[in-house]
Amino acid sequence: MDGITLEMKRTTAIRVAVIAGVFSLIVAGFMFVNYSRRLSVEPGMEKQLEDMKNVFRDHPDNQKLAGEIRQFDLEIRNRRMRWLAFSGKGAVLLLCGLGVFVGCLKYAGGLGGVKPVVEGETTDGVGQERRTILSRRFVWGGFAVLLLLGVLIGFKPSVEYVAEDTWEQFLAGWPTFRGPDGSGVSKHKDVSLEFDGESGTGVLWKSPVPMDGMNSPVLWGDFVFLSGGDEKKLQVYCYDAKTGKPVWTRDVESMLPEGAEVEPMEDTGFSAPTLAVDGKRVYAIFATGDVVAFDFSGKKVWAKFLGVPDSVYGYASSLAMYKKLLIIQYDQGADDDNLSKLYALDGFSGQPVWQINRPVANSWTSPVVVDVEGKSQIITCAKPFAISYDAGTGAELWRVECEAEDIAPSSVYAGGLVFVIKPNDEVMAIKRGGRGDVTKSHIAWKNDEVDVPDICSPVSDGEFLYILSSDGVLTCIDFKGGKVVWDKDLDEMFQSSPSIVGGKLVMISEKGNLIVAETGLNYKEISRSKLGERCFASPAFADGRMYIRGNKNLYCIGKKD
Amino acid sequence: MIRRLTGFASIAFAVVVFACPALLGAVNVPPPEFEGDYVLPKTEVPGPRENLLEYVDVSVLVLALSLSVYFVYHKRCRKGVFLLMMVSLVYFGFYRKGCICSIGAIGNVSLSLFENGYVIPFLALLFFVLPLVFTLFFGRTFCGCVCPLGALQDLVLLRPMKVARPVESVLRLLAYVYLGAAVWFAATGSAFIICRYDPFIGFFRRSGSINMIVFGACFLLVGVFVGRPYCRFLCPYGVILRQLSRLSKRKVTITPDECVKCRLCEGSCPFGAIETPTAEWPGETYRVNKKLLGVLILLLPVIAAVGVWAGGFVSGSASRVDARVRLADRIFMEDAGTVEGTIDASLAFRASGAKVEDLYSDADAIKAKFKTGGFFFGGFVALVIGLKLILLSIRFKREDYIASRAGCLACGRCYSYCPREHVRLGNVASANGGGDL
Ligand code: SF4
Repeated sequence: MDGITLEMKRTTAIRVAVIAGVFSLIVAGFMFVNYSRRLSVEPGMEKQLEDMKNVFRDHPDNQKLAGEIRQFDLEIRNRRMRWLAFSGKGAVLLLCGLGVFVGCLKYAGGLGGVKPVVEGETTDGVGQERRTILSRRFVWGGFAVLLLLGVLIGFKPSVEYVAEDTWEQFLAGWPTFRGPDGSGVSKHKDVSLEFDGESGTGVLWKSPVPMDGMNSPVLWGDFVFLSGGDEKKLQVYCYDAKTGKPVWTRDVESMLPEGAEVEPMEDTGFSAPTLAVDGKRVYAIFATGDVVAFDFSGKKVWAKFLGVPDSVYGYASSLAMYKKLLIIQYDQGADDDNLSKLYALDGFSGQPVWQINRPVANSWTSPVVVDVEGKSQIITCAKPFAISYDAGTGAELWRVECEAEDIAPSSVYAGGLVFVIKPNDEVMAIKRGGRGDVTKSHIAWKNDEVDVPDICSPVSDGEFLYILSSDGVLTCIDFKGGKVVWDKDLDEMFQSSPSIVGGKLVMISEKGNLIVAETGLNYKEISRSKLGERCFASPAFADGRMYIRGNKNLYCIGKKD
Repeated sequence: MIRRLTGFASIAFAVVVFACPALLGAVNVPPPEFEGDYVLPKTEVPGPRENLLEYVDVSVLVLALSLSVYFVYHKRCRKGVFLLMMVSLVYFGFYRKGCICSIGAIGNVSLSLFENGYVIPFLALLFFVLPLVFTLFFGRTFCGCVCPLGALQDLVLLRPMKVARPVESVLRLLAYVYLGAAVWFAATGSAFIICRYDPFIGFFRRSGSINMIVFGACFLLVGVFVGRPYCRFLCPYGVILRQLSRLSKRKVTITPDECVKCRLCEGSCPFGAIETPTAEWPGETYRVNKKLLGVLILLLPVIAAVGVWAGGFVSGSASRVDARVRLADRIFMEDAGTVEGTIDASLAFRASGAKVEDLYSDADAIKAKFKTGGFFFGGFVALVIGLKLILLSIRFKREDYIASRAGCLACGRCYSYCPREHVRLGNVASANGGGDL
């Protein structure tokens, strides 16, 4: 070892440093090439994948494309993994190389010795004083810079949150089919119910509706919303509630895949589902499976395609809302096809908040969102179950096996009972508070000796239940025991559901005759008014006003201010 | 030759260091959008380190701290210090991947002090406390010998340059701002910014966001010329250690016995921690400084009040560090229509079905905490600045060359520059040569 001089050690260290440095540069070079190659290739592939996904979104039934997307996605992932493995190994080599390089250089430097530098005077008083003054100035400067930065950063005002809660307003209005809870009971008591559509007496305004549709009007503030459509065109309409002037009309671009056909029955049409409105946006769904949201200025906020519905008569369930969630009962196929779903979409974005598979067949009922002992439930009816879900989470709460094929009347909730109709068969009341399958435990009563409706939903004032069959038999049922109190043949055909306004029953026949009758122990007709055109939709009620959709026009019934 | 080589090496090193970010950056691979039977595995959070291994970590820390005292005070050996530093770098840096670390533990400690529901892990507490205790007795041997962040910077220090004292004075304020902000954000339960913005963690883990690796690479590049820039100008733990080492029982001395004022050590410290003897003040200067000192002492409450105001003013914006506040802002702006579209976080929130009112009230509560914290933060920073100005107006008398109590990192570089050290070693013949590992 004696032969190894300091100089030799230093030279060796420098040589090793040079080798390690060159090695590190080569490794870094390789990694850089690998990285830049990835940068040049990957974005293009990702864009291609995104494009494929976008096409798929419009054609969700294209299984070939789905397979190609999966394969391509896998290829991109494999590439990324290879790149990661390469750069991971490279990083270790690079760090080792750099470590040796720096270590050797330091060793060589240390051995060579850095010569001490001795300059100027030992105690340079002036220099020290100058440095101190400068230091103080710099610190003041630093303080000023920090303050300036603070002011610049802090200048962006903090957001003052105002949670716009339109739920109370929702509950007080008529924003969905048969009102906010689907009960058909208006909170506005003083509503004009007598008019003559032909002479215009009692009609505040009448406005033509461009396209046919079975859906009923929904209201928010100064607006009335409707939809219409046929196999060629789908539309959403917004009217000025005061004047009846159309505010906007929007075409809805269907996302129905090419070649797919939707053929609803003529009685159902393409726009049977009633719209929903939440104070910010109006939502519409059509028989094609297209769902769309517009803001009040008519700007499309989002659109979604739920897939071609497998519905015998054409999709007809109306939309419901729970706070900011749009509730869609999308029942399809047979009950064991596992096709039916209940969706809760975020109203703002259209993104599903939750979605639940339903073990039911296609149906034409609408979900109702009701408050049961302070908790909101969504009650649905379709063969073979009436099912209730927690409105916030979609968790199933209870179910009753009670339904048959071809069901259209929706359920209503009043006074702690859920009233459900098995078309042309029986009407029943289900007690609240059940959990799980309550078929055996929670049915309060059943009545199969009445004229049970097959289209119109029931209505209840909390004392009696009123059901209206398509051929015009109105039956009043004892709320608690389920016994018939009275029945009355109205000599009309009905498709729209009865309502209760200010303690009066309001029914509008297919011919467009609006019958107002007293609720209570005896039937007593108060008035009959003629719309002058056929009517299949249920009216909407606001303070002092009633909105009726005839098959050609939208009417506003009320007294002039 | 060696100077030329180190010059070339610095440039080559810079190239490699700047290439690193592109090479080390991790890729986020989004989860596949599978449909079908495949169930996405749940995200797994790694469990705490096994008890036994935790004890190993603490034992290594205690051993390293003890050895640092041995090398710095007993052996006065730079090579030993350097070796210990490298072992710590490998163990705490590359093996333990920079976690747990005493600097990051500031966040845990702050949160545990201000948030009742949070119990600080015992290991984090020990990592926070042990270096403080050692500093109280032996000065900043943790910084010089054990801290992996310091070790990494020390390793790349190839061409040390002097930082002018005024510049150093102002840059050092940044560390106080960083410490204040770190405590502020951790105490509100919003973010552990020290960990999040650890510039070297990407190198230890060989992965990380591109931004952070660029940040770290910049520090290392500056560190080629400026001794330990992170430790001196940013490290929040260093701020605490600085103050404690002022009180330390033992302190690093350049000379083993007496200072002969040969001035050989004057330029040896790459961290500007050697304090030179002071000259007598001329009478006029003395009077001016005395007056200034009085004014500054009177101004101190005013400076602090300005800081308190500024802290409160900045708190609204600072609260956006908190993810929940950011989310609430975003949701609010989306709903108000002041921004277009959605982002992943807002979509996820909307898809969760959670109540926006709850989000807003959470965000408001966090903002209120930020406001209170902002007052303290602003007051703290302003007070530090005020005291710094006062300290700069006091004349400390020194007759010898000494290692600054607060600034000395106990790296042991200056020992071999002192001729008295060579006398101690019985090595007088080579007394003019220094070592600079
Ligand atoms: S030991 Fe000497 S060289 Fe090292 S930091 Fe302290 S004063 Fe500077």
